[in-house]
Amino acid sequence: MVTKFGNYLKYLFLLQILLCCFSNQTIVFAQHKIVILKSKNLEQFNIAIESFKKGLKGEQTPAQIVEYDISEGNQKITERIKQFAPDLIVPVGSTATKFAQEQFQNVPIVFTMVLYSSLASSIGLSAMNITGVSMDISVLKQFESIKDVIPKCKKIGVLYNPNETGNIVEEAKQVAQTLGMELVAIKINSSKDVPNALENIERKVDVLWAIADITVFTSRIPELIINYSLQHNLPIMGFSSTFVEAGALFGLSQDFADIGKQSAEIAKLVLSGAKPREIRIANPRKVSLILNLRIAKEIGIKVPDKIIEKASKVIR
Amino acid sequence: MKKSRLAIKFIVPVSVLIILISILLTTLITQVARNSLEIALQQRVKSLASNLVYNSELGVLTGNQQTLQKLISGVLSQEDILYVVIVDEKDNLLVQSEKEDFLGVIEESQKALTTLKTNTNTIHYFSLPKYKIELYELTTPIITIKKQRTAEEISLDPLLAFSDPEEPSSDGQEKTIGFVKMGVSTTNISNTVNQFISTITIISLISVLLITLIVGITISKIVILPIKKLVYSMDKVARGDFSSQIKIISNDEIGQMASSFNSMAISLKEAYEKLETNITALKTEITERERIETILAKQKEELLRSNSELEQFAYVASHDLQEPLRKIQAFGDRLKNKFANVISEEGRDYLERMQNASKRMQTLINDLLAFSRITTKTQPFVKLDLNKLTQEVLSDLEALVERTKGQVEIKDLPEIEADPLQMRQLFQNLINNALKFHRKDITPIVKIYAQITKENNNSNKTSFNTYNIFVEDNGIGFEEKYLDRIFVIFQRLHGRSEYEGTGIGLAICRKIAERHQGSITAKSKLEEGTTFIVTLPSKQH
Repeated sequence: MVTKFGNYLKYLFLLQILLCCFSNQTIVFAQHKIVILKSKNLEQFNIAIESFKKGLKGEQTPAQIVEYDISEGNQKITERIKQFAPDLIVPVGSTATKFAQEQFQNVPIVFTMVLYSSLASSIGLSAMNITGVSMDISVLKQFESIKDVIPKCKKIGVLYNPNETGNIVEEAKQVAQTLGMELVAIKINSSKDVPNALENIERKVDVLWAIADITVFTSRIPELIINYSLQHNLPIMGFSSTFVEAGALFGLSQDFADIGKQSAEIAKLVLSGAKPREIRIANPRKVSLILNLRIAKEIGIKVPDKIIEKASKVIR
Repeated sequence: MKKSRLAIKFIVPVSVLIILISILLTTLITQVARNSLEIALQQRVKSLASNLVYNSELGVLTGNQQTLQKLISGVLSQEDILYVVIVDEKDNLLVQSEKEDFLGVIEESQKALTTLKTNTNTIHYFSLPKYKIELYELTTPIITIKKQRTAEEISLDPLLAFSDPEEPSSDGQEKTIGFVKMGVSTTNISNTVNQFISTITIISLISVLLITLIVGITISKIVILPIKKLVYSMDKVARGDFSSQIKIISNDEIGQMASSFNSMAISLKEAYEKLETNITALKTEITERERIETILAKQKEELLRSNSELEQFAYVASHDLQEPLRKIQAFGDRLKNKFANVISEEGRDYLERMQNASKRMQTLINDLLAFSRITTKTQPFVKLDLNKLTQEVLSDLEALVERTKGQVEIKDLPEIEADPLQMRQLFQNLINNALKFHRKDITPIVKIYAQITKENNNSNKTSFNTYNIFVEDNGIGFEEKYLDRIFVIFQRLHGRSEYEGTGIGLAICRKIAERHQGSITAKSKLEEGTTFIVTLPSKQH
């Protein structure tokens, strides 16, 4: 869908370039003002931002880009941005996206590196001026990878706070059914419930599916979960490369550079006049499988060889 | 005994010094050791505590007592850890555990520390006499970081521990969720230190013993042995064995002493040998003298015997000679009276001469008899006033005084104990001589006087004085070289024709003086006069 839309935009771009050549208004076009609004100075964010900037440079006319980090707590950011009068705001991460959406309802926003599923619960999805690239990997893709890595898997366990990730879990229950599996979801109200929840779920499921729930994954609870998994031979499907490295059996990871690049492409469309609400929020294009065979050996799971071959990163 | 005394003088101060140094070193090292042991223990305990705190964070967060119990029992297996208590932030007990050997120690400790409020990182030292232990309680807060993180931050990095260890609290809030309290015994340190002290004590005792031994041996080798040799040799020398020589080969004072001793021994030996030679000579001389004395004594005895025989002989002879002499005189008188007419002139002359000779013989015999009577016919000693005695003698010699027209002065003579007849005879002889041997045409002047020569004022009965009695004349005198001769019997300095006499008078005087434990001598100058000096004691005994 996105690609088709992109192709259409390309034509539109070319048309405009032609128009600019004749009308001699290249400067206005060239001087597009873009504000990049970082939620936090995270390595992955920076990768995406660099990639985004590179993506913009592909154009003949470079844009004027200003970068802010809202985690620095500068209260004059809003004023400055308003003075700057950007054509486009690119918030990185959900905090910045929420901020931008609240402060600049009239400026097009193309977010990037946002876990959309969690953002959706806190902001209006139907906002008019906003689009972007989420980090969400579809539940289907995730469950398919579970089937790949653990072919015998019948029951998937998940710990979640309904207030945080209830919608994802609901969707996931249906996806599991379609794949011939069952999702056993245990509700958590505070991190103190985690040990008991683990005790409850352990005998019922074949794999623990980890979702980025801020109630579950607070402070040092991930350690507890990993320790528990190792002690009870319960494999975990993690949600990031670091998680797999830290002790999950496997996980799917986004390509942050590609997310940046993808965001740049949407930004160009918006800058060239496309309405954000008309552009669908995109998911990561590149998803890679990361396997921790050391953990597999530890908890006694045999990962099929062809899957190991398919994995983009294998920890042995 | 002497050996040990000298050695002790060296060993005792050295030993005391070693012991003092040992005590000082022990104190210092013990202090250092105790400190470092305490620091090491504290570091170990602190790292244990920080591990425990880190590991119990989850347990406290989730309230999982099982996990916590496992954790603290792991810590409790460590040495020196007496108990572990984990409480929540409001000091409510979560879990606790104590060493099996010290059951009830937590309760006691909490009683001891009841006033303390648990809030920070603290160490409290205290002791529990019930268990005989010194201990401290280390309280460490359990801190968690509450982070407000977005879902995508979680999805990007689910494990804080792996994401940003440099600034863990950069975007989180620290919150104390509980405390770990650890009871730590310091008794082991005390035991170790005590063991250390006893080890050092043993070592220093051994070294004192060793040094005592070494110093003792060295001293006895260097000092005492040579001194002993010296003493031995000195003893030998003292007993008279001068052959002893000390063999000490060293250049120190003892060596010098030894060589001095050796030369001293040699000198002594030489001196002794000389002395022995002299003694031998002296002994020989003494023997010789003794022999001579024996001979002399014999001779004296013989002499005395022959003297008394002679005296006896003289007495007998002179006494017995008187009888025939009286007959010669009697018959000469008869011959002269009855046959004066018949005998020629020549015959009468012969008869006269014969009678003169018999008279002279009569005088000789009388004198000789008097001489011998001095020792044979004696009177007892009585007190005599010499003034009175000399006056009587003078009246006896009145005829001679008149004939010579001499003058006799008697001056303050003493009173002495003497034989009156002999004393009379002595002065008669001396005054007679003084008047008789006068120079021609010079009136004889005789002075008799006395002097005390020796005063003896002892209070006992034997006290007496000695007097010199002088009989001085202005007569013919004699040469003093003949002094010895004048007191010898029958010795005369002048011819019979010049001065009459028998030559016995002075011999009698000497004999009388000697019998009175006195003596007689004379001073004289030819043609000037003679002074006879009779020395007599005032008392006889």
